[in-house]
Amino acid sequence: MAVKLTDEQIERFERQAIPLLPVLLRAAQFMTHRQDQAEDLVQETMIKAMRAIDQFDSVSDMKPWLLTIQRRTFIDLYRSRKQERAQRSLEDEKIPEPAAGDEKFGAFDDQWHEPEQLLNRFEDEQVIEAMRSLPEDIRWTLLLVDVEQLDHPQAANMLEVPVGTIKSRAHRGRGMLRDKLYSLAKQRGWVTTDTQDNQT
Amino acid sequence: MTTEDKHSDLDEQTRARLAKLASRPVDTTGVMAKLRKQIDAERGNQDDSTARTFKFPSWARWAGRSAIAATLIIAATLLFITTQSGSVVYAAPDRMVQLHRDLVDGRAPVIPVTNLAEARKTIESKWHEAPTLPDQWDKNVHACCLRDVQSRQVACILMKEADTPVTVVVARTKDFQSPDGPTVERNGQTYVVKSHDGVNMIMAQVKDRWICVMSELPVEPLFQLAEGVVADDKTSNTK
Repeated sequence: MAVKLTDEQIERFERQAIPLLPVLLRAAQFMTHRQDQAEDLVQETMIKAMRAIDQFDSVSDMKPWLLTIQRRTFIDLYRSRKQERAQRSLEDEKIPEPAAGDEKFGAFDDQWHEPEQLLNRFEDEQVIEAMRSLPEDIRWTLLLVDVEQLDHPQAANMLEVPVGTIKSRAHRGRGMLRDKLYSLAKQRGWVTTDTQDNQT
Repeated sequence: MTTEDKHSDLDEQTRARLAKLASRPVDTTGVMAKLRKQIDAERGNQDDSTARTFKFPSWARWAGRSAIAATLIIAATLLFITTQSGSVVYAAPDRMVQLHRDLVDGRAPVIPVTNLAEARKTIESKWHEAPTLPDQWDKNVHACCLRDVQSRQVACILMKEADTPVTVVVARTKDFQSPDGPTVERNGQTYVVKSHDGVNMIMAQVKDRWICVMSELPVEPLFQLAEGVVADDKTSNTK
């Protein structure tokens, strides 16, 4: 179906949404493993945003609005891929919130002696790769709260969960990410063997 | 430090590391090109709908179709000439580098100045519609000039940073804009980053002016210079 947009709508979209293209592409790279997939996701997001530009309240911040569209687009694409595969049910993919005391993260936290130096030793791509291995909800939370610096209520609104869940996911996610990075640091010999022995 | 404090500190360090990812350059060229096609298609839809509903008025039926066609061709040609002469051009990295090298190697005439205020005064006396130039940006400016790049007038300010020549180009956004390319967002401002033939370019649009800071210096010091110009531009605009 052809969608008719006015010059004003297109001009508004170009002025408000196009400058945020790098934000969307960066976010897409966290969610997908290939550049072409990330670009497809962003393109789909932007087309939806352009056609829905009148739904955007100009007083609000454009970034959360676009990221919300992108997240929904990602979920749609992801679900359609899953349906094609037809081997796994949606329930299999759900990430349960951990029960109290069931926090399997931060196993190496006691071994981080110079956290700033060690964290900065990783290249951006390595940190992103570690992020990609985290559960999707955790990944989105870290992306919104820590990378894009959205406040907790904004992230909670986007992910449709309570603010408390965002806080706990962010804390849990950082711990899980550190575990992944610490393992990588061990593989690379960036941390000493005796430290490794101590923590196992 | 208690265990709780240590976890809190680790959390803060992790958060800080993740925050750095927001300034990672990404190449938006591919997706921008696809999007541009889509935007053009949307514009095409408007044109299609106009075409579908257009009907020749009754008087036109009396006129020869060839006369109408000739009129339309002339009108279209005039429209094309008018829009081309006043349209925006996208900065071509090779042309910008050529400009930089011409200025640095002395192949293009420049006007020696001793500071930014003098450069600003010189440019404004020669170009009455010049975009407002930075006036509080305190750097080692030694020359300035007006040049024609891609048939559009631009103001150039020459300076040195760490003994390396730097050219700052300022143009009107209605004349000049940044091309598609990797972008970086810093302090709420989007910059396009380009490299060509050993010259790095940081381009930005602030309100009605377009700037390009270029040099053989690494990208980071150029960013700092560009941020200085952008900050100064923003200050100037609020005056």
